[in-house]
Amino acid sequence: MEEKSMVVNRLPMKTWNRLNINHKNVTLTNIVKEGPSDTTVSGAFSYRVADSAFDQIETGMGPDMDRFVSENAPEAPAMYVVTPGTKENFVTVTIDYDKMPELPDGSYMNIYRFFVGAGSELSILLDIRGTKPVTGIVDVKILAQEHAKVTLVESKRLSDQVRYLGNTGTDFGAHADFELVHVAFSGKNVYEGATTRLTGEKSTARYDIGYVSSADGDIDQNYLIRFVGKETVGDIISNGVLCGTSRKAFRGTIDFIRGCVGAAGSEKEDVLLMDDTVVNLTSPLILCGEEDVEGEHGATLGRLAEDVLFYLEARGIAKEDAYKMVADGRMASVIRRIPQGALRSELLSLVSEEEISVEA
Amino acid sequence: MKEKTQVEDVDRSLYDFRYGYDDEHYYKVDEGLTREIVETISKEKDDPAWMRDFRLKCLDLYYQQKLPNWGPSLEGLNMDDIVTYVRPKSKMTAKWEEVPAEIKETFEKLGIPQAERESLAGVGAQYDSELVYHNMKEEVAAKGVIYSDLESAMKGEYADMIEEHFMKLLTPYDHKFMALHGAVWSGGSFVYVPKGVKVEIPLQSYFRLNAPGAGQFEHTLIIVDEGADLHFIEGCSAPKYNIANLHAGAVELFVAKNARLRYSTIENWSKNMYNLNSKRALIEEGGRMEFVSGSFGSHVSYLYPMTILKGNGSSLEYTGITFAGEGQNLDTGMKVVHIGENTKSIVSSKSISKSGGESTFRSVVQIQNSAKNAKSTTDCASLMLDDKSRSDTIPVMDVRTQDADVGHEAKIGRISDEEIFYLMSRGMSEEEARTMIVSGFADNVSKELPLEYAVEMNNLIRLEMVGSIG
Repeated sequence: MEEKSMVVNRLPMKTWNRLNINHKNVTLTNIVKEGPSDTTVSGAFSYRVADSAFDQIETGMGPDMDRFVSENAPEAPAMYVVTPGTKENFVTVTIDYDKMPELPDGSYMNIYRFFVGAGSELSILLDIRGTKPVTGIVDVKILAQEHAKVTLVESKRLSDQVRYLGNTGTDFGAHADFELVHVAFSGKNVYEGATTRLTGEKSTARYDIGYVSSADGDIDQNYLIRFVGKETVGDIISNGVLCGTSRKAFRGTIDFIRGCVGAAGSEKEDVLLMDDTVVNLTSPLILCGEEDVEGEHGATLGRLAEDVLFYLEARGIAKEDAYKMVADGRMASVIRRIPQGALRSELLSLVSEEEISVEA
Repeated sequence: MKEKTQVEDVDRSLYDFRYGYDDEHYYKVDEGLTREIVETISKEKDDPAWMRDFRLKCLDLYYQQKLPNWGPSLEGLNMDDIVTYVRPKSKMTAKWEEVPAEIKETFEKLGIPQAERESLAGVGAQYDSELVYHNMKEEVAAKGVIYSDLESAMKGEYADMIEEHFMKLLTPYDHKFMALHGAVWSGGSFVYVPKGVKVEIPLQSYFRLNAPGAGQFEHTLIIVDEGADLHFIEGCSAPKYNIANLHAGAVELFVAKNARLRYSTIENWSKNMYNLNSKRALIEEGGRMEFVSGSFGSHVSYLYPMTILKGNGSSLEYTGITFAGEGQNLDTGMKVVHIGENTKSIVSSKSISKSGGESTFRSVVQIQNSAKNAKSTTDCASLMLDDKSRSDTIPVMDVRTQDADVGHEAKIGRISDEEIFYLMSRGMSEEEARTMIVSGFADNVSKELPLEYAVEMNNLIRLEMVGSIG
């Protein structure tokens, strides 16, 4: 067994090292097995081995993770090719780690590659679950041609025994649209990164991210949209709830590359801190090499706003219930972005069951 | 799409002027950084023993520490080429007429004596490594306010106070250039405002770095005692040379219980300067710190005033503007650490990038677990004036208590065609319209400055905007 130390989720532009937000250190072993996968496909697909074009796609977790995936992939990744001009294409995958034996020194890896033809539509759902002490790696790359529409939903329901690494990289052609929904409930260590390159003019991307930490979880995120084509539009919206002694680092970047004339991007992060022992790190970057753009970001971190709490308490709602109500509402707002009705209902019912406490 | 016209170079003759520099009228150490040079500086300054030892310890720390692996490139800065100590062969004086003619003319051109007469409680003027003039109005001195050069104060009545505070807030362990500062520091001011004393009009120190290839390492130490109030203004400029100059000053600010300190800076170094300055303030219970910062000059800047809100109910207001033009990479911002309960910080930052200039706003807001009911808001706006420039925003928020409200907003964009059209339809030229819009963008900073400095800042913006039609 060989241990590999990696630097993942690098902040696109470094800042003071002592803040511990420039990157995340991760160690994995070279014992990698194919992850569980219960897949349903409907629509107009063909399949072939993923070509080298996917090697050029930048991912959120970065080059170290890409190298690890490439060197340790259980088998050469297959590619879903969506026939140009087709609609109603669906890929639904359930990754349930409880169906696999425990793998204390290794990790389960699932790799997905999608080539989405011009004018076609694709909806991908990855429903990831687990309660056993395992490490799961899910690596997704999407190459979408002009006028394609892609939705990628990644739902994680993980116990505090599971370490999860989710790595996503996408590239979108002209007039193509991408919607990414990341929902995470708990998990011991949840490390995620997603990068979208809006290469073609008037392409768009929207990330909706929602998470509730476990009591002592470690969440590390790196979300990036690069605006390359003219009049591209991208938004990153994150809603989080931190509990217990959990720690979370959010890196969100909108990067306007010179030449992306008329591009517009925004990012917004709201984090509700439920306990006094949480650690929240947030770094929302705007990188700008183009004059004719509009970019903005906003973040609100901390307790429930006084006026909201007052409003709810004035209507007889206890402080603890008020916090839970708002936390549920924030998660629900992300879950409602999920187009698949069954999963959406399932997750919405989970929100109301989730035990979220607040200090009196 | 609108046609772009040629962007002309900026006329900075108001600040970049220089009179002849000759070795005959100046004493200087050799280029580079060695133990012998540090010992020579210590001897020149007649340091007490503790300071000589401290300098040598800092030199060791300088060699142990690495250059930052973030921020603008420092490739063009070679310490082997930097002269760390240069002084005119004249003594510091409190009489303006005794200042050597050439130096006097420089400061007169910068308007320092006029400002002293009209609007300041005291002035210190540093030329290269040493202060050449220091004076304070009698009525301010009568209140017990101390404003002197740091070296004199170190050997006088306040020696113990200085030893207690000197480089305790900014330490040589902080980063490589703070260690360098500790080894070769020279000049700077010491201010002590006694309990309950309110200094009604500002004190000002002006730093002029005149020698080519030189470094300036002044140390400013300000102690505002309980219930006292002070506005301190710092101005900096230098003539332009083709070789790199270095500024690695240090500013340590101690604000006692219920005291207030406003620290205003208009930094206008020439565009061959590496400005690696450090500022840090420690605020006790109920104290208030106000930073007003205008960064216009230098080739490369690393500048992030830091405030530690230690006492309960202490507060910070930071207002800053950065204007990066051709050949400039200005990495500026702020840091604040909330430790006390009910602490508050309000941060407002503007940056403008033009003619290939790069500006970066870098910040950290840290709310420690002890800072119950802390509140912090940051508002950051960037303006891009052409498609050759860059503007980046790199904030970090580190929140370690539930009981806090932290907000951050940032925007980036350009001057809209509609705004230009509106002003041009009322008879302005395009250049006038753009200058007016940029001045308006910087309005929140100029409003925080005394009138004459606001005028200077607007003049700088006007100079930078010459030929900016795009």
